[in-house]
Amino acid sequence: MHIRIRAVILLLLGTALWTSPASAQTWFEWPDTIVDLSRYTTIDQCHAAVGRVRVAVGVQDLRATGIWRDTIPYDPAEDSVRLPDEVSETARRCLERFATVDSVPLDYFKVLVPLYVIAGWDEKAQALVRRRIATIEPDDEDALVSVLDSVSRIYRGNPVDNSGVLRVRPQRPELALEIFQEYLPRISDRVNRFMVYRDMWWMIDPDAGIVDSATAQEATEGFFAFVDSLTAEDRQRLHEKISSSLDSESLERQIRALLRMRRGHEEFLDSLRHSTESYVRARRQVWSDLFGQPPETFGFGMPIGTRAPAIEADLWFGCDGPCDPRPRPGKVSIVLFVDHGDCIGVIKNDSNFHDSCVRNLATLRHLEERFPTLETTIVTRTRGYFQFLKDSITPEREAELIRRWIEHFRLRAAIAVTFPGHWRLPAPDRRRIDQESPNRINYSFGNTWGADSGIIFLIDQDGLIIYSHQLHRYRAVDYAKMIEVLLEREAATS
Amino acid sequence: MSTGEQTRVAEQVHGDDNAPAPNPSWSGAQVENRILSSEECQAILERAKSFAKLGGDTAVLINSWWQGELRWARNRISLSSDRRDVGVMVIRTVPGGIQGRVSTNQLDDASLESAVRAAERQSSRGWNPSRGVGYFPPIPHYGRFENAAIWSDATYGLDTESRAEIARSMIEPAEAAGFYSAGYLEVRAGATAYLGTAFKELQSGEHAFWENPYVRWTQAHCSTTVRDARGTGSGWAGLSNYDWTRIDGDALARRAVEKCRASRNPVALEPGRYTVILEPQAVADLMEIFVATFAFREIPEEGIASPWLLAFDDAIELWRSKLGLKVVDERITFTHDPADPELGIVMRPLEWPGPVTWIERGVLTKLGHRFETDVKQLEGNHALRGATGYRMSGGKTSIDEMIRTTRRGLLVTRFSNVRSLDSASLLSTGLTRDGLWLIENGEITKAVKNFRFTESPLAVLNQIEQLGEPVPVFRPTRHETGGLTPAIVPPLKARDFSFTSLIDAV
Repeated sequence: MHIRIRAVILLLLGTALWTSPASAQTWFEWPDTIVDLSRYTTIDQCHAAVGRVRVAVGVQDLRATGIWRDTIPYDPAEDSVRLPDEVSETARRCLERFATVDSVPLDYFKVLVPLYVIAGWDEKAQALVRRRIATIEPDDEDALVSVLDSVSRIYRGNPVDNSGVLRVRPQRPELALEIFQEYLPRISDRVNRFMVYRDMWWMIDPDAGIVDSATAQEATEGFFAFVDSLTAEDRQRLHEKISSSLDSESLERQIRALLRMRRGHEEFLDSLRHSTESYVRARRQVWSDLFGQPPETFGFGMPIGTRAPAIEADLWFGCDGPCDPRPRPGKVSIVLFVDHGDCIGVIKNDSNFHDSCVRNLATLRHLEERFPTLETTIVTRTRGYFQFLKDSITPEREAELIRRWIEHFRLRAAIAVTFPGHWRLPAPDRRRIDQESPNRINYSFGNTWGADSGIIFLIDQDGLIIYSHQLHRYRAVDYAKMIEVLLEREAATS
Repeated sequence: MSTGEQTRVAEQVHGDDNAPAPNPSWSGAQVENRILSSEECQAILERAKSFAKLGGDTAVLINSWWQGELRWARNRISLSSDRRDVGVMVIRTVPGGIQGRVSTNQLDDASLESAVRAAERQSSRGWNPSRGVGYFPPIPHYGRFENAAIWSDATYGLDTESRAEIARSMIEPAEAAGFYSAGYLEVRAGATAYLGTAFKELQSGEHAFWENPYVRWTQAHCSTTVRDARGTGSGWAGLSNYDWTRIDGDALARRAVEKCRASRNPVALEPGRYTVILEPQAVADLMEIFVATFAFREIPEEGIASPWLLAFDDAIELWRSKLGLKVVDERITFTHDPADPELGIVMRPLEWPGPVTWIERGVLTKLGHRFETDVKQLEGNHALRGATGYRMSGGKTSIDEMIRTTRRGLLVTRFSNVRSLDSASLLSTGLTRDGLWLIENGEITKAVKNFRFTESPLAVLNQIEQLGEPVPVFRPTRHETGGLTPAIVPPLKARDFSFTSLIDAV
């Protein structure tokens, strides 16, 4: 027993430097984030230990700050934040017995490289990559490209395991570029070189602040110079190899369109400042360049530039006076579709609360707070139940429950509730078939663009749809920029 | 279990200070400590609550069971045992935390407190941010649903000496005939308690999850196999019931001896399709796979292979099941009632009260479903477990009459090792065992070597010629580990049953 106590004390002392101190309000005892590393003796166990500490530290952060981070505005710098010291320290300590790169099993290449980076052992990670590449036959270019692709994924922070434990943060494109530049000369096949160039190009996103703009510029120019040099035969082989929508005849144009989509937000905003018409034209041009056809050819319902239909409702909530018409003429507005059947679902016990709506509503609230004159409307419908309540529920009662639930998020949005009705399959099947709500019908475009729960429509003061997508916090910055431009235009015309 | 062990368990249940006097015998009225009473379970909950430190909710799921068992082989008793165990799952939800669940079978203060601490750690490691986010209406209160009467003092009180007497009585006829008897007799009792929850309103009610905070039950199973000395003949008989007094051990022994005698020196027949007369036990063995398909309507309605999957309905963009369609012979009805004492279904704290008709006059009328499915798509507010026991409808034809009206066919005692080969057609395979006879021109003419069959119960139910009176059969369910589905089934005669190979087993 004394030995156990002494071991625990030593462990506590040993980890004291990297356990985060309790702060803010303590609701209950802190969970144990200390891992007894003496029990973790294999690479798989180290993988698990790092995972456990990563989760536990995340929970501690949540408790200490009281902030559920996916409900606060997205900051691109989040992707550059270093992993907590506890995680790195756990990786370092656990991997001590696997620190000799020359002797670790290469089967664990995809696990050890990210763990080495998490541990802060960049040189070991690079050495292991080189050791792995050294095992590839000199004439086996496909195998080399495959390994480089894995290296790109690992250093870009894309998880190579299902749990995301091995996600490298911050991204380390400079390590990948070092490897790429070293081994690119070994690749003679031009299609294979394209694959490597493409990986390099995707890695360097100056918007994320991960590489400097000079490096990004150099890589982009190198990529395009290479694309320019591709022969017709190269392009045909490339088309066959990647089997994508890129057609072999207009590869360069399409890649440039992709670049515009990726980096062209400012360009779109400039158009939007000028007029909705020029903005819509620019958007459609990128689409046509990308796919070689206007969106209508594919039956793809691109709603941008389309007039927003009037929202219908059997009941309105949240307005001082009459709510309709919505969207109101002359007002910049957001319409958000919310279906409690999807985002709350059925609650079946006391630990079964769902939350998929919460981050959407939190993002909407941030936009409302930032733009007080922005008109917001939440469009919802009845489903015949709410959470677990069903007995004798009426559409009016369900609408009231939805209102109370949304009200909890302190939104000023008007709430439009429709009672679309339903029918049932004959007995004994008796399944309920909900009729489509008129708003979902009106806001569905083409064959593919449906107003599902979580979709927003940004609408200008003339009632034209400017943008439509999931109301995701990662896109909130883009929404905000567009709203800002539209509100400036609204102010100028009023 | 020794007297010392009994005392230790009693101390654990009641806590260290309230240990009752040790119970030296399991007989008569002095068997109360075999399982935990409702009050004892409540006491465990209170103790668990007293150990909780971090606030929030505390619940316990308690399973206690006892089993008295006697086994014999080659006409000699080989095992006699009394076993019991108790398992407690401590469920803690600290404020803001997820649900932590930790199990123990040690009920002393130190162990229980340790389990509570571990559950709290588990709970506090997680985070349930949605708990309390948004407005949640109060949960409605429902009335109480009463448990089935499946408790028998006779079963609970069957002591070691009585079990030995029964075994002796069952061995004697085999020994007198020069045969070898093997078998077992098992009496069981158990209690399940699910106490303490954040949603107290869900503890009871017609539509609720938690209808029986405390349930107790008994089960009795008796099975015997009789072989001749040369190993060419084998006879079997068995029966299950919650009430031991409804099982006649002597009758089972006589039946097994008769079958053994009649099954000696079997002849080999060519595999092929035969008209079969399935005794009730064989019907239950074959239908086990069939009734399991009643469990989830979500399976066909999600387009997953199932005998009840019809097709995708393009008009409504849904997978359609065969609900409402005729799927088997119109003389066939499958029902179950959780409160049916003849079936002796062990209730769970979460139970749909029933009764349920799965197939009515050949038409598929009901399938089990999850709670979410009912709330979202159906008309209730409850989950429906599949067939936890079942009654299959029958007819008036006796087995003798079935034999008399058969020109050429086989009489099957039972099947073993039945397993499914295809989840859509329910094509299954298994072996005939312990008595297979050839019928020719209305008479049993000879014993036949056993076959492997490859057949679908669904096909059998569509090829029925005659049905007999439904009777209870041997279905050794075990509450802790599941097991076979309690059943009341008829004998039946069906045509074109497919036997695919000979086997050597008797």
